[in-house]
Amino acid sequence: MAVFLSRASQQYAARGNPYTINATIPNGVTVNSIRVTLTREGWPVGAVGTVTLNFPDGATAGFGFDGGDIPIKGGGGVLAASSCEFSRSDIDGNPIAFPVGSYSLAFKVLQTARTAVTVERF
Amino acid sequence: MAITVPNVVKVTGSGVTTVTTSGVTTTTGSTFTVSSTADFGVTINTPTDSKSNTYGALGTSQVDDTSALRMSVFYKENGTGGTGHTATVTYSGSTYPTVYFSEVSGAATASYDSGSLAAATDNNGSPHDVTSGTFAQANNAVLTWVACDGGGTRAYSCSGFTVSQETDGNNYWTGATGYKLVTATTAQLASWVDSSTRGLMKIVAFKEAAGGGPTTTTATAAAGVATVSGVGSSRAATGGSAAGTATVSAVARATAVTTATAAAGSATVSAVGAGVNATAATAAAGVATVSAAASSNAAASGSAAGLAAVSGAGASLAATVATPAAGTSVVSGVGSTVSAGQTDAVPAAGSATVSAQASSIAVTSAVPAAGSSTVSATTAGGEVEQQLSYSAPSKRRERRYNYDYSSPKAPEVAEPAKAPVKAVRQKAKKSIPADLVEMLGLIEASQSVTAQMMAERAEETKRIQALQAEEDEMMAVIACCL
Repeated sequence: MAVFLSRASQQYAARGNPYTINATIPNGVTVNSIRVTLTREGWPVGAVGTVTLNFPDGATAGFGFDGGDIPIKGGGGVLAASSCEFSRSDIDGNPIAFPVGSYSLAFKVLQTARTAVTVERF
Repeated sequence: MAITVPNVVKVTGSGVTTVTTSGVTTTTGSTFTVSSTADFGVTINTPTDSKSNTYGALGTSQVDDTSALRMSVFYKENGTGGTGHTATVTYSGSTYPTVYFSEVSGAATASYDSGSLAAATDNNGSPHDVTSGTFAQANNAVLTWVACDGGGTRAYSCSGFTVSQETDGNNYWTGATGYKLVTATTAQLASWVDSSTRGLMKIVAFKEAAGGGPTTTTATAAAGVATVSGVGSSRAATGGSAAGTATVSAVARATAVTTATAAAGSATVSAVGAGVNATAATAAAGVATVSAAASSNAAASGSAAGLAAVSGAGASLAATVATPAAGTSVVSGVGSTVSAGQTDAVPAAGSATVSAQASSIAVTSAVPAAGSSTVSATTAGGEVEQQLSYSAPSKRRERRYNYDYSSPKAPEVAEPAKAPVKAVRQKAKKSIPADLVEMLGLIEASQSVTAQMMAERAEETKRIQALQAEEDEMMAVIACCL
């Protein structure tokens, strides 16, 4: 596991155009999965935003999230961060590596929210 | 095109309301499936994808008996594919899903075998079983899914199925998907193993397109060429016999290639793919070749009066025995943790070669009764670590061992027949600075030569002692005469 994109906690104002954060996976690095994590820092109830991860080969992946206090899986507390992890496998069940090169993360904010962004590769 | 499952894409989410898988290149005409786990109280909406395919539900959404977990599966027959193909699943609220987007290529236009669909809910612990209905046709891809309620780290397996799984039970409603390719209408059991108490399971078959795979198994020609070939999944190309050339080949996974028999000429058995076993090639004369290139392959035996070759390329290979009555035998392995020629290449006459190229190599013996043999160990980069050549003696005292450590890329087998130990030591002095490994190899080889020389010296000593004994006897006889 290694962090290849990180932004400290800050407030993101709601706006039509997404915020864009760029990062690069260097040559020679094998990436079998990618996880994007956003800390949930007092997010308002309702849809807060979407994240789209743009791959060097033009492919995309992403997720959307609501605000408010939501229980962690199975209950027992409030979820501190929303995350999403992407991977793929071939005919034999072996991982298909993601391409190296320039990645960008488009963060579309529907309601003003504070968060820290981390993208990890595995 | 034979039916298969070339792509399985997974995405997991924690506290999300929608997820989109990463892109993958798919083929138009394929069948696509999308499955998702979620909290019991969350609705899993019908998925969409980036190629505007319209999905239908595969059975009903399942829930467990404690109202904690949900799983839904959707499919699209004869879909539109292409590059950057993604699938998106939305939920009625925040949840913790595991989503699988799978492509079934080589499927019939109407591939869904409704009679095969089965679902089960289990609250009795592992294994979590679900058995399909019988299939409408023989050749199918059978897909199965499971979702379990456990936390912590999960571990799913399903015998006979190739499995993709999510193991993080703390952050996601975990689950797994598996597939297998079948060639009979017999109902299939998916027995999912996981330590969870509760499981939701589903299984279904998708039909292969007509003419999607080879059906020919045997080719026999009294003379000329007989060829049996199979390219596809779960195919077995069996026997080909001919007076001329017999060839049996298969390129697939889960393929068993068995026998090619040629009364004369050449016989070839080849297998390329995972889980392939290429077994025997027998030629009464000519060339017999058994080759396997893949992981977890076993290339077994090849015998011929002419040339016998057994080769394996891949991880965890075992290339075993090549035994020609005459001619040349070759045992080779390329890959990691390969033991090639861990056994023998033993021709009655001619030449034998045992070679291995790997990070962990065990190369042992190549001993022809006559002719020459070569044992070589080569690094993954192609450098010759050690090579030993052996020329079978016409007389015992004419035996020669030749070593070459000078040039990894151009090993020279032949060394002057005179003073082999001196030659080895001179080369060793030149090569020592290279690296420790090479030095160890030199030491080891020198020790081997020394041992050989000691043995020869012992023989020579015995011979001298015998001569001395004869001389003593002669002296005794002379003394008596005097």
